[in-house]
Order: sequence, then structure tokens, then C-alpha cells
Amino acid sequence: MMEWRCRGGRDSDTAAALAASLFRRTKAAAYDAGLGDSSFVRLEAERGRLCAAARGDIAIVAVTRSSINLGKLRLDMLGAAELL
Amino acid sequence: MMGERARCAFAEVIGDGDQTVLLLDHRGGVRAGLYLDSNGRDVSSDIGAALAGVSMDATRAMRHLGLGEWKAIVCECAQANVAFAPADDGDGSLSPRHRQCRMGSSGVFSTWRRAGRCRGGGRSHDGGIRNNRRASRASSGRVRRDAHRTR
Repeated sequence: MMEWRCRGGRDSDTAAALAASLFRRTKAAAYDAGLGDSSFVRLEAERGRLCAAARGDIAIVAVTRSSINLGKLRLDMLGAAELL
Repeated sequence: MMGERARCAFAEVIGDGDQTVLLLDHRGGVRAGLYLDSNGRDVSSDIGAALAGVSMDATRAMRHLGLGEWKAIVCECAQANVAFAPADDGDGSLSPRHRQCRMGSSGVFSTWRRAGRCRGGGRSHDGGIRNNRRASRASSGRVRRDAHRTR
């Protein structure tokens, strides 16, 4: 984990590790399916979302509420990933 | 060994759509559906193996982050989108219960082509996208809509 900003006492190292593992497995499955490289992965849950955008070995992960503007978040994360 | 009915289980559901569906158990074993790559090779088990621990990872992540139960994982890829969702555990034959993996012990893996992609140039993934339908046509027997309940 390179940098983490969050609210409310969450263990950022563990969250980053879980998010990275999830992203890696999903990416591997998509690659095995011949669908090319993954650019954006999101996990939908009852009370929020876990989103990840990656470029190379570096990923940007966001944990959000369900009410956020997902389209804007996606564009912002993909734009930020391009800058990595 | 998966039977022909299980391989063609989703053929009628997805029709001629540019998509394919697999039903996986918590170990990544393919219970229904079929995925052929562009060379006509069945890569369903490769995909299942790659997704073997996804549901447990997702469950652990949700528990840690306090987001409740997970409902879907969607992955945007260069050629298509991929969705992975926990399946209904009501049918024990499809999803053997596992103490550490009550939720999402089986999953449905689905892909669909992104609009405007994969049409001209580059590698064609037609073989990988329309395979359920193709398998349905190739099968001699009638495909039943409830074939996914095969024991």
C-alpha cells in the first residue's frame, strides 16, 4: 500500500490487501477468458461499493457508499490511473 | 463429469446475445455452462480455477469493510465486461455448503461484449462469446430451461 486516506478507524493495510487480492483474481479470470486486460473492477454490496482501477502493478481503490455517483467516480479513477 | 444438458443450461436464457454464462461452485468447479475461446477450446475450467477464491475474498473484504453482503463483482476488460455474482444456495447439488463460505459459495460468471468493441481488427472473440448457443445447436437433444438443476 502506498497511500491511504479514510474515515473511521479502518485497518487500511488489511483492506488494501483484500481489495488487491480480489482485483488480482478477477483480472486473472478475465485474462484466462481471453477478454484482455482489466481496467476497472467494482464490487457491489448491500451498503456500498469497492472500486479499483489499475495501471501496471499499481491500483487505486475506493470504498464508497451506494449513493455516490458511480459514473463520475469511475471516470475520475480511470483518469487518475492514467496519470500513474 | 458435466453432462450435455448442464453445458447447454443457459443457451435458451442468453439466446443469440453476445454473452456467455458459467455456473461455478465454491471451488471453482464448473457446474453448468460452457466457454469456448476463439480457437474453439473449452476454457471453462481455467476460468473456474482463476475464480476459485473470489467469493471467499469478497466475503472477507465485505466483513472487514462493513459493507454487508456482496451482490456482484463487475470487471471492465478490453474486449468485454465480466460479472460474477453469488448464486442462490437453495439447490444443494449446485452449491455444497461450506462452513467458512456460507454466502457466495457458488457463483455465476457472465460475460457480454462491450458495445463497439471486438468488431473489426484484432482478435475475434466470437468463439468465446456465443458458445452457449453454439453448444445448444450442436447438441442433438432438446435443451430444457431448467437444465441447470442437473444433479
